[in-house]
Parts: sequence; structure tokens; C-alpha cells
Amino acid sequence: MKGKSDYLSLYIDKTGVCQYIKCNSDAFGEIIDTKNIEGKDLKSIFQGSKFSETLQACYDISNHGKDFCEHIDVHQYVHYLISFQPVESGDISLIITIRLSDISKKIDLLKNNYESSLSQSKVGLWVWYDMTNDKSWWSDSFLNLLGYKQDEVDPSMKAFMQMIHPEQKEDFIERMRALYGSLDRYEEIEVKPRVEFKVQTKQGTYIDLLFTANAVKNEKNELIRFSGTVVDIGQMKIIEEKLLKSEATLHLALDAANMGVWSWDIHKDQIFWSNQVLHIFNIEKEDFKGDFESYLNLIPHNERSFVENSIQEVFKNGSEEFSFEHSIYIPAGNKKIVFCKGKLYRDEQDVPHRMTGVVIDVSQENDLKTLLGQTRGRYKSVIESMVEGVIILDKSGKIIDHNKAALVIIGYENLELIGNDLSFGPGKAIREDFSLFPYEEFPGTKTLLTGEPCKNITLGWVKPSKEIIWLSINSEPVLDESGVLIAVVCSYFDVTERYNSIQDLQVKNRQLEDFAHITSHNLRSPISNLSILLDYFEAAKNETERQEYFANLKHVSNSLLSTIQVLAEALKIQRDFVDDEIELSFQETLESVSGLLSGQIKEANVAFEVDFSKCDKLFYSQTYLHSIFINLISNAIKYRSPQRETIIKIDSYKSDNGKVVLKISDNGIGIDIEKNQHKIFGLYKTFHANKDSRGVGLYMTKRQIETLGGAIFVESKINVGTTFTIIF
Amino acid sequence: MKDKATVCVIDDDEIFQFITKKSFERLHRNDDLLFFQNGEDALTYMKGALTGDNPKPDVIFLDINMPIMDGWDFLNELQKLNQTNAALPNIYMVSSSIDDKDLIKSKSFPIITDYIVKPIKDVNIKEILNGLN
Repeated sequence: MKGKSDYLSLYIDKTGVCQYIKCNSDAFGEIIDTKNIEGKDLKSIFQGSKFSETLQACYDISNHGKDFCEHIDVHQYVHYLISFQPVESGDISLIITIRLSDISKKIDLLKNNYESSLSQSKVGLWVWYDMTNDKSWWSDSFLNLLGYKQDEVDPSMKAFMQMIHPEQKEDFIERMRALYGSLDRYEEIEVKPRVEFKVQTKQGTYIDLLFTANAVKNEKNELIRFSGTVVDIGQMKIIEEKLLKSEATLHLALDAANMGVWSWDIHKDQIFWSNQVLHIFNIEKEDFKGDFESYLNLIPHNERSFVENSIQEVFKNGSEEFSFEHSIYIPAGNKKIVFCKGKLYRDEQDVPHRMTGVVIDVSQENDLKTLLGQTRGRYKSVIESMVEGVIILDKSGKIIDHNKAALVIIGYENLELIGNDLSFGPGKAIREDFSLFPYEEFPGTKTLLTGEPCKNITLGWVKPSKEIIWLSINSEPVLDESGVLIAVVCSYFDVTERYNSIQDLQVKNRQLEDFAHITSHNLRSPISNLSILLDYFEAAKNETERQEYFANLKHVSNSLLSTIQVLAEALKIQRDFVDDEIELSFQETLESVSGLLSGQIKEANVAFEVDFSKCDKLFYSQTYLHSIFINLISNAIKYRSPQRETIIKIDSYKSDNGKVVLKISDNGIGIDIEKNQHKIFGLYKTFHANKDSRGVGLYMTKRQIETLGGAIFVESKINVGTTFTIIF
Repeated sequence: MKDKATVCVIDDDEIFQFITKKSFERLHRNDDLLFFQNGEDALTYMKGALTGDNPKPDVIFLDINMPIMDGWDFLNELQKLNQTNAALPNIYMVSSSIDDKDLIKSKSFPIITDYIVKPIKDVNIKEILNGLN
């Protein structure tokens, strides 16, 4: 025990005068003037002490030094154990000892470090000072722990042992004996039992006490007493349990978040990793050396310097909290992305000495991010690779995104669409009849207004170059989770080829229908006539009658032959049979046709007014162009008005959409267009009782024009004239 | 059976006209045959017939395809003329067309008695005339 505990002992003789002192420390100078104590009486000693009151009280309690008395006093957070020990040793009758308690030191340390927690803890002190008669002293706090008041219990080892839980009593006795025995053998080893016992309180409940014992010996190394502390650890236990519990919860939380805890002692270069961190890094505890270098070795080469720099930054900037992300190699050869977040701690000299924090496996999150990025990239590349033009409108109708095809298709390569609406630009939308397609009825605009998708809307588009293309447009609303329209996606593609071939097919179909009609009318009539005439011819009663039938049979047969010839001609009018399209001059064609029709022209005294200046050339089939000129000019002559000079006006020009247009007008008798619109171009349809009318020319003309993808229209007023317009 | 009916033949086909004339001759009757080249000429006659200026026909044989005014237009005009809903002659559409469209269209005219596909023989004419009162 020597040297372990600081003490000051005053040896008082029977007269109450301090004969001498023993002291192993300077620690008492502050409370008692140790140098001038010898030879002084108790009264003056007490008065010169910071504990004068305490000492006086103890002196009184000990019956002027005849009884043992011990008291703890606190001075500036230090616990002093003051004891009055009556002795019979020569002149000396009393030893007053002031001891700086070990316990007190510890308590004070605790108190200094954990002031708040100590205020909650309960510490009791005990001294077993008379082992022969089994007498003890227990501090008030000890009694309080047990629920007793000062006079309610006679403190003794026996009394204490009776309070110990029956199951633990044996153990306690064992330990005390061991302690006693070790002291018996004068061993210098310090035996400090530090045991938890359940002790019964006055109320009968058991509390957990942490029991410590110290043996106190005199200078002859004789055991004079035991002293120690009891600490109520019940509350600590609760806290400990709570801690354990919350620690478990924390672990669970950390596990769930794939989060591990780490700590780096910078001076020692020791890294602690929780199991979860080891798991994240996919490394066994034995395989991780635990220094900074081995941590860096787990990071891919290209990211090492980044991590090192990040940490250096933390050191430099004095910032406490930090976070960064980096990848790590894991043995499977894969990479993982981890997110480190931590805090830097500095010592009093502001030197970084510790970092602690958490690490999270964010690979999955990163995978998702990458996937999202890829999806966006893919989506972008998909819409870019689409042949269809894609335009995305926001809810105000402004274009917010589009692909390249969107521009190329409509001929807007050099224009910026984003931020504009669909009415933007020099192009024109048209309907199938070439009238303007209003902006309000664009599929995209319609979907914005109605929220309904539009499917396969055909729209003509006049490009800035005046070229006409046909688009098939779809528009689809984009809704958010609550069903509110947030955008519209329009897609369109060029269906000009298809549109044209459909137009071609429609023309062909119409021609076929016409042909079927012609066959039924124009072939069946003469054939039915033939059959009857033959019947009647056979039944003729005389030669005259027979001659009459025969003449008619001949007539029918001739007309049948010519009809078949016409039909054969008509059937020839097909794209495949057309001669090559070549560049033709309108003027030359007219001159050539005028030569063929010179007889009729002269006879009718026709005047021509011709203007080919706006468009004098055309790529077309020579045969068809001739046929068109012959039919229309001869028609104009045939149906001229006898009341006026016949004037035929011919002019050509290019339409808005770049098509060549030819107009041939006459001032003839005209036809009732309202009545005859549908028949005017029919085969064998004639409108005048004119012997030359065969009803073949206009049918052939229309068939030829339509076969080459053009159109012919007629305007006429009775007695004013007729105008044929041909769009090539 | 009426021995003497008034019959209008409206057809631009001269051969058909010839055949029809012969068919009537073969029936040895005394019918009055009126031939018209197109609907317009026939309509002019019918105007007179409705006012009583021309003899009213008992039967009309009407072709579809004719210049100037075809069979359908003739029927439309005739309906317009007959505002008083006077009794009209029995009108027979006579056409070489076997196109269903024409047959269906003929049904939309209540004034048409029947649709006959050419050829039309003396026996067919006899049946029609026998049906007259």
C-alpha cells in the first residue's frame, strides 16, 4: 500500500499535543501547515486547517479521540479520508490520518471526465476498521443506496454479507477470504476485488452493486482495516443494456444501409473497420493490414490520387466533415462504388489525429445512375436513329425536343425548332385537296387541346423548296402520374411514295371500274343486237327482209370491231406501255398537232392565242402529249359556236408546288357542267347530238393523264366556252 | 288486251330501234311506235303528253346511256314535270348493262315498272303488252 496512497498522519500524545507527523506527500500543504504542526496542540492545528470544522466534528464524535472515527471531506474536487484512530503506544494516544483516497482520485477523475454521468451514479464508501469485533463504517451515500438511514443499521461485514443475494454470498466470502489470505502472506501484490453483487435493500429489492475493496496496512505491514466503495450499477446496467440494444439497432441500420463504420488513428496509422466495412470491401479481417496504404491498395489505380487528394484537402482546409466516392476492386474482379463520409478530429495543437466515419456501398445506386444515363443515352440514340421525325411539345405547344429526322423530313435542316410552335417556319401544311391545313387542326395541336391521341393523319407538306411531300402523323399525349397532360410527342414520316402509289392505285382502280362499265355497256349492246338480228335473219320470210337484216348485221359487226379497237387502245394506256418521258417543247408539239388538224382548223377558221412563255418545256411522253393536244383542240373545234369566231387559247405555267399546268380554253357552245361533271370523261358519253361525237377522246385523254400521275379538270359555261386544265 | 298501244322507245342505238320495230311487226299488232334518240327529245314529247297535246304513251322503253340526256336524267325530269301525280306510262329500263349499280339505282325510282337487260325479243314485248289493260 505504501506509496500508493498519499497520507499525513499526526501522532497526538495524551495531552493533545502533536508529537510528530508522518507524511509521504506534499499534497497536504494546502490544507494544513505541515511544517509547523509538531509541538502544537490540537486546537491550533484544527484552526490552521481548511478542515477545521470537520476535524473538530470528528474529534467530538470520536469522544475526544477515544473512539475511532472516519470522515470524508471534499476540497476542490478531491476526496480526503480523515480518520481518528485511538492507540496505546507509549505517549501517543491518537493518530489522526488524512488520506487522499484512491477511490476519491478515481471518482474525481470520473467526475472531471464525466461530470454529468457521475451526477447520476451513486457511490458509497465503506471501511471495515475493526475486524476483531466486526465493526464497519458506511458512508451516508452507501446507506442511501441500501435504503437505510444513519441509525437503522449497525454497519458490519456480517451485516453486509447478509444483504448479499443468497446465491452470491458464497462467492463474496470466497473473495474476501482470498483477499485476506493474500494479505496474510504479506504479498506486495495489490489485490483489488472488483465484483458485482446483488444486494438487498431495506425494501427487499435487490440492487446491483459494484464492490471494490482495499486492504489498509500499518507501517509494520499489518493489516489494520479494509476500505472500499460500492457503486450502484443498476442504472449503468440499464444504460448498458440500452446501449447494447441501440448498438444492435445501429448495426441493423448500418447493415440495412450497407453501411460500415471505420476509424483511422492517423498518428499510429491504424484503421479500424467494422465487419460491415470488411464485407463491403469483400476482404477478411486477417487480410486487411489496417494501415492507410493497404486501404489505398484496394482502390483502382486511376482513382488513388483522387482519394489521396481528397483526404489531403480535408487536412488542409480544416474542414471537419467530408465525403467522397470512389470505386474499389473486389476479388471477383468486379468493381464496387463506395461512398465515404467522415469527420476529422484534431488534437489540442490542431494536428489531425483521428478520422472516423461511415462507408456505404453505392454500387447499386451507381448502377441505377449508369442505367438511367444509358437509358437516356439509348433513348436519345434511338430517336436519333429513327426514320420518323419526332417532335416533343410541352403543354404550351412549344417544341422542347426533336430528332434530326424531324428537320430533314420537312426540309428545315437549317432552322432551329426548339422554342417555337408547330406553325413556325416557311413550310405549308395542306390537305389532300391542296387547301391549307389549319394550325389548330395539326395532330400535335389537337392532342394538346383534347388530350386524345391522333393516329395516321395524312398531311401534305410544302417544303421551303416548294416540293410537296405527304406525311403520316401520329401524336400521343404524355401524362404524369396524376393523369395531367405534360407533353405531346408527335412522330411523322414521309409517305409520299406510298401516298403516290395509293393515288396511282386509285386511278388504276377507277380505270378498271370504268373498263368494266364500258365492257358491260359498249360490248354487250352490240352483241345482244347481233343475237337478235341473227334470230330474225334466220326467220326472214323474203329476200328483201333478209337483205335488210344482213345490212344491219354488218353495221353492228363493224361498230363492234371499232369498239373493241378502242378498248384495246384504252387498255394500252398503262404506265408500263408508255414511251420514255423526254423533254418536249409545247410550241413544237402544238405546231405538229396543228399540221395534223390543218384541215379542220382551216375549215373552222380557228384563231389561236398561245402563251408558253412562263413554261415552255415539259418532261413527258411524246405520244400522250400529242394525243392530249389533238383531242382537246379537235374537241374545241367540234363544239365551236356557229355564232362567233372560234378562238382557242393555250397557255402554260408552273404551279406553286412546281407542277406544270396547261390550259386549253375555247369560246364554243359549252356543256352543262353541273349535270355532266361525272360523265364528261366517260367512254361513249356524248353530250351533243353531233354525228362526229364518239365519246372516246376525253376518256382516252383523262386515262393517259392520270396514268402518268397528272389530273385534268374542266370548267364550262353553256354558250360561253370550255376550259380544260391539265396538271402534269 | 289492247290491240293498239302507244309505245315510246327512247334509245340512241339505231340498231336497237330497228330491232324493236321488227319485233313489233312480228307481233302483227297496230301499235303506235314513237322513237326518240335521247332523253331530251322524249321529255319534250312527254310535256305535251301530260298537257294532253300529244297522245299519252302506254309503255316507255328507256335506255340508260344516251347523249345529251341519259335515262336517269329523263326520269328525274319526268318526275319534276309530273307535279300533279298524273298516271304515268309503264316505264321499262332497257339496258345492256349488267352492272348491279344500275339495277340498284333503278329501284330508287318508283316510277320504273321493271328493269330489263337487253336483248329484248318480240316475246318479251308481247308479255308486256299483254299486261296492259
